[in-house]
Amino acid sequence: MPTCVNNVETLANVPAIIENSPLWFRSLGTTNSAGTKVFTLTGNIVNSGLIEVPMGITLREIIYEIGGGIPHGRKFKMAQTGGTSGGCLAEAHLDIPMDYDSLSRHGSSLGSGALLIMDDSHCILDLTRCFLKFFVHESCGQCTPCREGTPALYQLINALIEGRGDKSTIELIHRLARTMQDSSLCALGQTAPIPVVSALRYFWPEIEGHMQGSCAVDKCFASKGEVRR
Amino acid sequence: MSITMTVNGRQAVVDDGATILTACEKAGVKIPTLCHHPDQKVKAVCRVCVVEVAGHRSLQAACAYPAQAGMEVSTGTPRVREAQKTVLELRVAGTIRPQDSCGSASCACCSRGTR
Repeated sequence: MPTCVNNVETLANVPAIIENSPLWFRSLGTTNSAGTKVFTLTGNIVNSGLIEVPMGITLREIIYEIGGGIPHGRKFKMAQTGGTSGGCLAEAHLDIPMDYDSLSRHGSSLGSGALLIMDDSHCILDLTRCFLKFFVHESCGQCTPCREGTPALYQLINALIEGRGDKSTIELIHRLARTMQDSSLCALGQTAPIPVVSALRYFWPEIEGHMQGSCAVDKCFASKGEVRR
Repeated sequence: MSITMTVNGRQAVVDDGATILTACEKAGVKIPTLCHHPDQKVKAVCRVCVVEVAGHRSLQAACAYPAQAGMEVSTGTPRVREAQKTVLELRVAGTIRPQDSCGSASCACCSRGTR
């Protein structure tokens, strides 16, 4: 059955383009990502809510100029773009333009337009486990890689959090991620490993610390190296 | 009407509407399957029969994907092998759902992860 599905954001752009000409629309944003983008700004941010900004604006401008910065005098730690299946970006990425090409180059996406901002009171593995909990719950259970892979990834991240992780844990996470991205039936299973892989890539020192029994924000271990349950 | 495609460089001629799996059988290439059964509807859920199709970003289930004229299919590549082995491993391991309340050190799943 031929079906035409249009995104609400696309439809909302149409009247403005008819009224002001396509040239006007193209004058906003970047060459490959024209126009504006609506983001849902959430997390540890002073002004949360819906914002409409030109494509190609930097994360720094969104967080510190529109978002009003990080509350309670804390520091920026991580931004997840594109929803729960988006990549985790670190401080080094604050100046990359928010458009389709730049984000895909950094292993993330604009996706749903969700922007989750996290401050430095959060442990990256704790956040990753939280994202995975969502996918374990959301997996419909049809195909093997997603049904079995999401809880397996959860368990592996949990092992790292509890100080039971080593080099083989990381290797297994990468192999699982590749398999899920390659052979899951739908985009949920194919994209579920993205936050995990990007966290391993951009927050590696912090994750490596967990393998040596230390958590950067002191969330995962009690004193004397005891595992907190 | 029949179409011509290649499996691992070998030519295969199949009827229009046939799957990659049928084309592979015709080309004499064996594809492992689990959820596939000729008497049942296509389910494409076990993902054991995945193959590489030129021009596609992800692997495709041979039991479900329709063969197309000029299609280039590769089976048994390192990428395919790794996916098949991992999928089977997951299927056999039968991971138990994470339970928030489980803090037991003697729990095989919680204390040993999935290894």
